[in-house]
Amino acid sequence: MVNMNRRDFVKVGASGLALGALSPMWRPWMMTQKAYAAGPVNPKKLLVIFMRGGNDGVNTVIPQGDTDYNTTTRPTLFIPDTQSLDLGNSFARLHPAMSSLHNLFNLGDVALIHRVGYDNQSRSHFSSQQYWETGNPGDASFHEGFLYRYVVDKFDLDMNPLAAVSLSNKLMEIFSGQEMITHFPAIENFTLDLGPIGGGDKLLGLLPDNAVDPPSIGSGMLGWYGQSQGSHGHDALIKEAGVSMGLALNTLQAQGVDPSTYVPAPGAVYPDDTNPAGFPAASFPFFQKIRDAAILLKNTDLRIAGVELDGFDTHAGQGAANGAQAALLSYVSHAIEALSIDLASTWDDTLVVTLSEFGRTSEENGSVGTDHGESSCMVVAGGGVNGGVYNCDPLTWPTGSLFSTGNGRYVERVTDFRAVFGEILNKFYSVPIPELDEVFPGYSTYAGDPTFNFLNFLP
Amino acid sequence: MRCFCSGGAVLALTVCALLFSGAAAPPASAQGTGDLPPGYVHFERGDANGDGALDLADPIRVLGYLFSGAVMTCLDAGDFNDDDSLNVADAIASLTYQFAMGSPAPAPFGVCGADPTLGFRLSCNSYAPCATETDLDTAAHVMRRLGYGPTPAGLDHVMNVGYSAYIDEQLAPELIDETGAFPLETLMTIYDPTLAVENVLYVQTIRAVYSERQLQEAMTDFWENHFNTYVLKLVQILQNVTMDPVEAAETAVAWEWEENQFFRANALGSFHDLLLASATGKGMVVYLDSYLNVAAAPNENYSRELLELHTMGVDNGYTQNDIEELARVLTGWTLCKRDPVNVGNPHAPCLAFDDPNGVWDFLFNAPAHDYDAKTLFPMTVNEIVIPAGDPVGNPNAGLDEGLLVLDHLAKSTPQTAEFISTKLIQKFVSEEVPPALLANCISVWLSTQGDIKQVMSTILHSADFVAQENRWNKVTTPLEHHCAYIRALDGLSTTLPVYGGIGDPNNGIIGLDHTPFLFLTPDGQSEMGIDWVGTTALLLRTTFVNYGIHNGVDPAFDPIAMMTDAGIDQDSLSEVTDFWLKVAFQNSYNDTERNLATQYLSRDSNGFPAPFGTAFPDHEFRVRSLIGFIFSAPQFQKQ
Repeated sequence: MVNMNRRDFVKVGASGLALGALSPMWRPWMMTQKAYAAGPVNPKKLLVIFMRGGNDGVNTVIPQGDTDYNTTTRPTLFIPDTQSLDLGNSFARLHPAMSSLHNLFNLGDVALIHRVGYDNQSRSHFSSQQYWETGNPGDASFHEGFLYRYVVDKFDLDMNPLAAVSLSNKLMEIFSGQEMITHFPAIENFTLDLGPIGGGDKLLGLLPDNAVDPPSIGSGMLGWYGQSQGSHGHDALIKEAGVSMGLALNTLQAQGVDPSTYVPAPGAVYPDDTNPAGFPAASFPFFQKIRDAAILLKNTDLRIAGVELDGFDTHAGQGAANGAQAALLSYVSHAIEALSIDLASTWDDTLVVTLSEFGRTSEENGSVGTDHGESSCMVVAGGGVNGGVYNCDPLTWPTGSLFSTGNGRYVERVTDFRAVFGEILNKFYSVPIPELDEVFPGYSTYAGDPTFNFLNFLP
Repeated sequence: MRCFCSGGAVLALTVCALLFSGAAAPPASAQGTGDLPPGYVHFERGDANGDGALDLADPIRVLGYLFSGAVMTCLDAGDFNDDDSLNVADAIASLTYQFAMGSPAPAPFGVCGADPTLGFRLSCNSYAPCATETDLDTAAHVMRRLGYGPTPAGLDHVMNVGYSAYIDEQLAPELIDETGAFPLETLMTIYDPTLAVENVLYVQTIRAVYSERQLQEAMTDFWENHFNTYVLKLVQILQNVTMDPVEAAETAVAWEWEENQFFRANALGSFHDLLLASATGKGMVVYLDSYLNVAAAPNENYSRELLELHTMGVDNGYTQNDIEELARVLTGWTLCKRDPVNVGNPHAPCLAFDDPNGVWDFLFNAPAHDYDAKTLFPMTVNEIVIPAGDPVGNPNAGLDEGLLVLDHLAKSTPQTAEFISTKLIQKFVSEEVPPALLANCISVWLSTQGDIKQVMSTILHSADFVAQENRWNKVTTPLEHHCAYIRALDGLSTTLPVYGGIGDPNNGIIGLDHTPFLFLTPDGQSEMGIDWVGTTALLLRTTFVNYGIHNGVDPAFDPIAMMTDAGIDQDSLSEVTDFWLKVAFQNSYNDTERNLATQYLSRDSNGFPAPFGTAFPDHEFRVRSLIGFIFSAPQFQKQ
């Protein structure tokens, strides 16, 4: 079906601006800037960090008070309470590599939510990541991201091409959909730089405009992509990518965003070649993305950003207080603290949320690692959260919880991830409960399901 | 339009007017206008009326065309003296040859063929006696879809033999002689794949561009991706074991290259051979932790992915319990170093891990195997019951368990046939799998015990493969995109490309996150278009194309020479634009796109209108910029 889509609609809707009649110097961002001026003073901003590979929640927020957490179930992975960090409820403790996050926790800015998952948990990385990101577990053919649905419902991507950005090599599926949300791994490289030959502006060109008489075909790539009417295969998607690319490039240029001259707030360190701050080079690409997210959150009208960190699939050599998982957790922990400092002035209106596709087996395997499991834990940080530990305390965590799934190998979920994000959308973004169905298909049908109760980690 | 007619004769000028006024020009196609690039339509010179015979009727037809409005669909066939113009001299030369022992016509004469002199002033729109069933757009589609895109010479070949015969050629790559093929062998010595994993990737990229065995290369990429291993994990584990970082890196590269060669040699072979090579392959044993899978503490990493990713497909006929049972079946599958003379013998004694004379080899480590009874896929058609084994009575008993299961999974498990056929159809035909084609593939798979050549023949010879609705319906992967770009422009190159820098296809595809050998997770990289379309993907493709066109993606590429050979009026915005649109898309572009491209060529690098032509110093720059623009279009993100 060939319908008038978003891009066509804009051409008609923007008739008063007479795009095509303007000089070749006219750029779409001029329109974008108007939108900025009219925007809210302190908009709510969200950064999600996807910990890919399945993070071992048991060694992240450690149920130290559960007697099953011991050197028998975890001979080499067990972390004693002499090393782990106190979370104040005489039960749960934090992985020792997360001392930065622990500082923030002690300020009341961190909610640690354990045992989050979904019904009929998939233990395939690929399916489970898809289910978390689409917000529609169990439907393998469904590839639209749940944050995508929220973003396109709330923002006009033509007016604000940077309303959402996936800071990743490929678009995170959580942002995937018919309209193309901008993605790039680094601001620095997101420029149509043809080197000494130049001509980038000519190549990018202008969108077609049907609102002038005679209609303008535009020029360059924006002209070609903007006029693309094919209904074949991926035509609409490719058209969206071209238009989004052009508008995002123009917007970044217009905003003068330049990471090479960026100076974070004092005390906020994003480790890199020049200032490793004790972190290994392998972490620098992650921290660069976190830094770029901070730059955009501070200097543009970016509302929702996504970053991903790979490597949590610790079948072998997981490590305990030190090792592979510890290193990754330390990156996440440091990143969140750096953001809290760098974004201090808007920290009350900012949320940083981590997620991972599943937890791991409660018992250690034969290769000093763990295999795919079910529920895991999430971090929600921000100046406005009700800090604390959720779902990991003596009252709600009976002994046996480590082996509470049907086959006795994994931690059973007590909260569905859609309830966590449902609470964020409802309380942080003021989405009415009935409208959550538009973000999470069938959300209202879970009313009464205790795993969908809000935990009230937000006021 | 410039007139090429020469001689000054009144008659010739008349012909000239006829040829270029539009009255006698071939009808413009519905999409786009202009002539086809040279050499695409085969004909026999002299047979002006296209009846397949040279006789008196032919010079009469030429005269009729010149003076009384008779129709000719292949002007080249009437151009007896091959001077690239049609006039009375051609009729006279034909008559002289036929009746007065005059000279024969230049090639193609007496046989079907393209015009080797690449004249472009005369058109040959169609010539029935030499026609195959394959039109230009079909030939281009077939070359895009089963390989890495059309080259001018390749299109000529496919149209000549017909696409069906071309598919058969491609299904038998061993019969396509590549001895001494340029520049394959030369490049193989420059990018020695035993030295670095980047060179393994170079070999794959170079072969994708230059090898005539296009299907074999596409299938090699398919199996590499299907049985993905991540070379950096291999390096890391080897380093832990041997404590020698240099040896670890060299060994990991050697394993990847060995694997790559096996996948290429067996690209259209038996799935069982491919699966067994992967399961016992040194790279996979390390990558998915098989070497850690022991009776006392099974590691289910490999057994899960074996079912989910390599054979049956996710949640397709197995349970978590089957994964755990299969892990037990495969306990003891590991590696050790052996004396080189013992390589290949799983029972041969092992050497120490740090023995510099030892060679890594597959080992079935019997003491680590779980010999208890197992049942896989209970209560299904695939049920396999393995009784408790006796390692003393039969030293092969433990290893045989795994071999039995692999045999079953590869040859006779319907879910495997379904899953792999689905992936193949999605790569070669459409993401939306036609149910009847899938059913045919499954049936062929089960009756041939997973003979990939037969399955691929079923797919490529299906009506779905060439159906209109399946053309341009897939997004190219970065590898396909970059190779197709070079092939489209590089078909006539006889100069060695020198890679490196931003125009380097290897750098290009890695920058686009298309990273064979360097992809972390075992699912391999997606065949789904949605995973390759995005703002950054498009930016990097655009940069590659536009930077490369000015900076030597192939230093031998000479757009001016190509146009000169084709007889293009290089002062004409529309002729130049049409020529390059045809090179890129054949007839698949519309008038708006043509107008945008013409407008692009008509402007200077600052985007302002400026006169265009060979008289101006920016002529070649503008042409190259146009090529970059055309290859940045939406259509070129697809295949």
